[in-house]
Amino acid sequence: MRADGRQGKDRSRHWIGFIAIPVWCLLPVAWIVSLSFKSLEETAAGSPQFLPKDFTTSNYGEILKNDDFTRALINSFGIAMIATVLSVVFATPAAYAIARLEFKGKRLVLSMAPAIAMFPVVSLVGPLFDMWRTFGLFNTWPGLIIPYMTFTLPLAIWTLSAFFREIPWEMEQAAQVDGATSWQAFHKVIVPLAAPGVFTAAILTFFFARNEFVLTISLTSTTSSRTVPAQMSFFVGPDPFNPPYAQLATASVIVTIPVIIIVLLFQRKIVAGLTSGAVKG
Amino acid sequence: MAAIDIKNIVKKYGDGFPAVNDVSIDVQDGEFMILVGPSGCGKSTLLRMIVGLEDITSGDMMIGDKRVNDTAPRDRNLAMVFQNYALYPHLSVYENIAFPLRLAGAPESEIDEKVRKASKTLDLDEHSERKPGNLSGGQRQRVAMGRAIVRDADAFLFDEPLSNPDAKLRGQMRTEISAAAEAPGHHHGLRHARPDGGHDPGATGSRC
Ligand SMILES: Nc1ncnc2c1ncn2[C@@H]1O[C@H](COP(=O)(O)OP(=O)(O)OP(=O)(O)O)[C@@H](O)[C@H]1O
Ligand SMILES: [Mg+2]
Repeated sequence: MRADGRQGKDRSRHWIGFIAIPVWCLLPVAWIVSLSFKSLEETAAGSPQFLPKDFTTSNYGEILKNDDFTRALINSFGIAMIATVLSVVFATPAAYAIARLEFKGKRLVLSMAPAIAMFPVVSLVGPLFDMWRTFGLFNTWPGLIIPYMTFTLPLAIWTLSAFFREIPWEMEQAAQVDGATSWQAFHKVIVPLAAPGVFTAAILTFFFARNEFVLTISLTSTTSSRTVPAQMSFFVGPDPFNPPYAQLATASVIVTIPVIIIVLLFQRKIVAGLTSGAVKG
Repeated sequence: MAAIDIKNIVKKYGDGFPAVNDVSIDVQDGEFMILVGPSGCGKSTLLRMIVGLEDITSGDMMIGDKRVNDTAPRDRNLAMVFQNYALYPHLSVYENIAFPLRLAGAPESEIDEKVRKASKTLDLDEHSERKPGNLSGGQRQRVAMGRAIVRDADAFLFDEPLSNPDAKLRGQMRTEISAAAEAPGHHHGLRHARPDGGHDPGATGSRC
């Protein structure tokens, strides 16, 4: 009886969480999507309603014709992509070493990685601003990619080493006994198992780099290297007396949708514990 | 196909612990040999040294007439079932068993024939397309067995191969191990059991 009662209570709590959390998370997103289909007049009106009164896609047409915005999209994508690729390329062997080898300073690397990744970026801005102007890196792609890597690289090392530690490395030995060369054991057994980890690390670092605001607003001065988060803060919109809510919302949707699609598509791949079943367990 | 001659083998692990201390065993070509001993006495370590996964601290490991102390595992042509199976979790049961044959570059028809035959013997045919993660412990163990017995190896090393399956399968697998040991070309089975572990006194008993 008591057990039953408790279980019932647990279950209802479970359901509250099940409904409340998604609503809490998704309501603002829904609001942004809805905003992006509203006309300028409607967003300027005093009392907003959730669904657009007269549904319009003109915001999308307009913003994609805005060269500053498309340029910022390219910058955002390019800079985040390069920072991600470089981080993952360097982090993979580093994480491999951390997972597989015993060496001096391993613990230090592991504990410093998240600390550096979380380092407040604001404290870097001042010195970087002066340095980058001296080095000619101010307002350039590398000028953002380099400081971005100060947090994407440790982040990638941290996630990858957590993943690599879970791989049952004995399979590599099984492959060698089965007649595989080191290279074959690596690319036929290790790579397929490490791939989801590398992929997760890549997605994570990409998002971090793409969402960054403080550095991009401080270290760029023109659209030649300004990324979307910074560019959006320069939006004026057609009506100087009203903030361009609809346009901002549209820009947000445009940069968010691809991310959601990527995550949904690869979610199973990321989450799936590919390594289960290798050993007796 | 080959005798294994273990001469005064010593293995000290990194922490200086002598896991195997001056062991000499001579296994004839075609001989069926079982190692029995309490947990932690170094059975796995010895097998791993034979197969080349563990460095030998001192002594000579001879396979055929060759000293193989410094030969890479892949050049020793030995098959082994690992104590914890070490299956390839991203490959199906079929592909797990086919793996060594594919590495050896066997033609597809031969691979298919051998894998099917092994799956049948090990009662795995209906699980061919499944992944190891979805199998029971005993089924996993049989996959590991299959991966070893499809090979045309010089010797077969089984690290506690019968600790999981039920009585019926155990009988079948025992027959298969003996068959592998007796078949022409497979002159040698080295098997390793563990009566003390409490897994399976029946099976090991009948062998000892
Ligand atoms: N990587 C290692 N580093 C240090 N010591 C080890 C290592 N592997 C095994 N040992 C030690 O070597 C000894 C023999 O281990 P081994 O795994 O060969 O035992 P075993 O006879 O196979 O035991 P079991 O029947 O439990 O599988 C044990 O005392 C163990 O503690
Ligand atoms: Mg053992």
